[in-house]
Amino acid sequence: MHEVEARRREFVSEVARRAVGAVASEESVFFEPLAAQFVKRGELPRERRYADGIIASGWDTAVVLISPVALALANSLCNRLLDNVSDEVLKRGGHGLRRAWRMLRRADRPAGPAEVPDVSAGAVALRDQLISTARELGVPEEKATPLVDALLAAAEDLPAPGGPASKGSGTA
Amino acid sequence: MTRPTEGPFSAPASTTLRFGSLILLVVGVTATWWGTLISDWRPTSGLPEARCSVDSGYYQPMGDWLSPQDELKRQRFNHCVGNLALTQMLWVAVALAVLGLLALLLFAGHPWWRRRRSRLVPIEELPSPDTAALREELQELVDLAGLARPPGFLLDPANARPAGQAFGGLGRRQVSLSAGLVVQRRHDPEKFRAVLAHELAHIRNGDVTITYLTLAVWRAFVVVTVLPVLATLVDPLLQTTQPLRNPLGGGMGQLLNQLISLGWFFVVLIALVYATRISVLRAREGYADARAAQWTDPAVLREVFVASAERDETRWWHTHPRLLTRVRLLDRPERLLRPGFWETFTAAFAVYVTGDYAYQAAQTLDASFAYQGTHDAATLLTAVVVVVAGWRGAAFIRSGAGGRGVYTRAGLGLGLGLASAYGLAILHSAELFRHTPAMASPVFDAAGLGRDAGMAALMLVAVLVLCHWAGHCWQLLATASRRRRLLVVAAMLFAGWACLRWWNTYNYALAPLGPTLSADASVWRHFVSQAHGTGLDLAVVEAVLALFVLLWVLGPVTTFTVPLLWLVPLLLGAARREAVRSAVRIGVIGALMWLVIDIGLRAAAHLTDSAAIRAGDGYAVVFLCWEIAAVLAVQTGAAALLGIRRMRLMPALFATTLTGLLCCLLLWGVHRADSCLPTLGLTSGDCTGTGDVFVAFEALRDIGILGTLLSVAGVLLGRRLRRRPQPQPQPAAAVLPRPATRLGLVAVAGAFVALALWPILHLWPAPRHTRIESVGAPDYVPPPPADTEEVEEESYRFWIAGGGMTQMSDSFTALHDYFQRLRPWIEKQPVDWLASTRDPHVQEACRNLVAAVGRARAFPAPPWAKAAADWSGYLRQLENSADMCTAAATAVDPQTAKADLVSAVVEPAQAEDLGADLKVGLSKT
Repeated sequence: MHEVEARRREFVSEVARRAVGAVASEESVFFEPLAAQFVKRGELPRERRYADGIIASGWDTAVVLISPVALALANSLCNRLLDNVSDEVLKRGGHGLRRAWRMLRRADRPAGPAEVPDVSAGAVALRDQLISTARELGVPEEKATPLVDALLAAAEDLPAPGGPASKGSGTA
Repeated sequence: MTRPTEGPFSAPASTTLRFGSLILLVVGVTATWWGTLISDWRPTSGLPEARCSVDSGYYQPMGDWLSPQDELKRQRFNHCVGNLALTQMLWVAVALAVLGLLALLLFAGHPWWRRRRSRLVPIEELPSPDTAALREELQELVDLAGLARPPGFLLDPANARPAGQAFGGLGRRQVSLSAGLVVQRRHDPEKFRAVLAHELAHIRNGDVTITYLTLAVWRAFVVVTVLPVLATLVDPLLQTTQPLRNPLGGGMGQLLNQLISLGWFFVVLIALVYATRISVLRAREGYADARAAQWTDPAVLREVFVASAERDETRWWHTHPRLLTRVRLLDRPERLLRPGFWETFTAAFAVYVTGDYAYQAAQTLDASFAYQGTHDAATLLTAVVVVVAGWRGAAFIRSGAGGRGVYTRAGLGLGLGLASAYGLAILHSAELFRHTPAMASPVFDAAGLGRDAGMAALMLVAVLVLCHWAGHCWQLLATASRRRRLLVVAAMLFAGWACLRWWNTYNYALAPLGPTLSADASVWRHFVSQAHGTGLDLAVVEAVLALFVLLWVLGPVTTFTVPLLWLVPLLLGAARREAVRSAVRIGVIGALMWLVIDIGLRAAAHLTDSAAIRAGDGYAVVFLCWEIAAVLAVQTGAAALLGIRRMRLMPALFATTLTGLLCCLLLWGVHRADSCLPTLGLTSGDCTGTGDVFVAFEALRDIGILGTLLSVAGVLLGRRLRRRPQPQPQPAAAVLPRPATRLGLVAVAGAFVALALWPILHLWPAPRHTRIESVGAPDYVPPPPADTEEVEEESYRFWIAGGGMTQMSDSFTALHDYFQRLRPWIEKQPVDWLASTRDPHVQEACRNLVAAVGRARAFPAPPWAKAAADWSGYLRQLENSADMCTAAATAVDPQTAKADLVSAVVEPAQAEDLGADLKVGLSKT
């Protein structure tokens, strides 16, 4: 069980890393420690304002960080995938998931709906939902869509979180 | 690493002064609280200090003005209390040690906690390709900041706000960078550099140590002092040795009483500590911004502040100033140099609070040197505040941002701080003594309050003058060497100490000046009457001698400060050489003028008064007063003349001081040769006497300060008298005088001090004068004694607390126990009463009664006459019972035994009276 959970988190971390590398490369400086915190705790710490008494610089204009959003979205995506794909598919390992995902992707194309109409609708909804979540987390419109697309592309290239250990995962 | 000598860093930062105030306040409040708690932590056998009263016979309501016999009692009391005080001070030392250790632990552990809590990651540990550029830029900023030891940089990956934070404990300094700041580096590198520069500026300014010590000290203070204070406010019984009793047992009145008598005082002090903590934390920000602005583009910082100002949610309790305030400081960083009203106010308050505890504790040690030492230390700390305020003010004026009003502002803060702290202490005492009018009356009578107001006003003037003078000296010191600076700082501290030493917590212990002056005035009138003097003579005598009495209070200020006031600025080049020469000429001419006047006075005396009148003691006093008045008149005239000639104040003061010194030397010579000059002398003799010669030099101490005041007035008057408007004299260029001039100035000042001290060192404690007794140390008149009945009633309270209650209770219990043992026998009415007297229980009770009566008899009688009479009657009755029970025990026949027992079993008639006395005594607590 722990191994499955570890793979799930590794999947999330890798998907988010690839997305951040594609959309906000300046955040790669601190992505590793942030992802390490996420992997360790399963969530990110809440945002803190500067506390009373510290020597902080004192001005407080917040910056929208992509990395925590990417991690959160990747986590959400992983959960969604795990919910949507049947246990049987999962038993077939990462290839099965990849096939399932490709079906989702194809379903999104104009020619595809005839083949797997139910899955196609799910893929579109998933993408929209992720974009909407990204917006809610403060990511501006012009960055939300590329981020979600990058996440989805990264997820497509990676083995399933619940399947056998991936080979060569982590390559962008 | 070089420290810029100009700009906002050319004088000590206000952060340092505020931090010093905070530490002093925390130490003072903690010591005062624990001192109060421990002295109230009474053992069941009575208050140890009250026991000292009972044993010595001196009770505090008897006051400070005592007969020689009572003075001996007080010495015994002080010795006894001194032994107790050592134990109490040990406890206070333990509390302070706990405070210090806790603060140190918090300080040392904070970096570890900070790293752990925010999960900070050292940037060195991150993958090199990602952080290479960032590290390079950080190193560049560290080089720019000129930090001898580069800080460690850490990353706060979860913090989206673009903030940095410098922190550290005992080891290396560290700076954390938030993830938001790292992102900002890409989008807005200037802002990134501004934030980093600000954090590095904190390190460069030494803020990290000060700030985290401030936080650690405050947290330790909360644990060690604030929480216990609040706990005793809620449950006053915690302040006793039986803290677990029901706090509501005494009702709401007890809680209210605690709040009125003690709580409010500490609540005010704690609030002040908190306000000082905030002010320390806020002050450092302006300096960090100013330093950062030297390294980066100030416009960027300004832009950041202005952009965020609309969303600024800073409140008064926050540790950062409002952004608009920071913008103003960025625009005019020289404002950081201005010594603020509140910073000197708080510093003075802190010095007073800590000093108050220290010298009250030292006073109980029965060691006058300890008391004097703590008092001098507190005065010296006040002088330090004066010197720092002068330093900062001079730097502020040099920056062109303001004028001399800055010294007035600092002086007002300092003076009002001292006066407010004094007022708070007096109010606190008033609350404590509100049920004991005899103890309160010397402190809180109207005359005492009036005198205090007068002394506070005098202190305020002294502080204002000192601040202006110290600032003037610092302005002259702008280009001086380090060695010269140290010498001048030492001189300023010494002058500050001499000027303020008279101001202390025991103003009320002074004798009433009004009655003293009245008593002395009657003696003076007698002198004038002896001399067949006129109303004018009386006016001159009263004016001169009354000031002598009043100025005695000022102590060393009259001796040391007057020469220092002009010596230090002149040595620093406050006047040109020609001006000094001119001042010397005026001084010599003034002295010669006085000699002519004195000869004229003597000639007139020969013409108008007979030899018999002139030979009288009264005549000697009256004539001396005329001579001294002539000195003052000559000084004033010389000062006015110098004012007309537009001479600057310092050389003018030098001139008039020299005049006074030479006049006193001449006065000494004239008095010494008085009997040798038949035509001019007031008396005739064998030309060998030395009578009254030291009067001249004692007068010098007072002529010094009066002459100075009159000189200032004379100079100002002279400037007004000059009809043609003249341009204001240009500030003298600080050209140092030549060695010969310096030597001459020091010689004049040294001669002044030496001659003023000579009578004290040479003659004390022998009688000073053969004919004139009223000049010099005044014979103070003690205050009118408090109502004897009140003194005794309030002293009775100490008797009760010091063991009287225990004696009363023990003896009464012994008698009661004896009654109880006899009760069964009395109820049986036995035929053989001898059996009852042989009962071992009855015999034991009888022995206990005899012992209790013996102890009570050996115990000192109550200090209240009525209670003493009741106590004495009570003891007589007990003694009778004890004697009879002893007699019964040895009786040989039943009838005698019965008769003795009947005589022994008598309830003391004074029991009710004693109860009423107790009620009166306890109402005084």
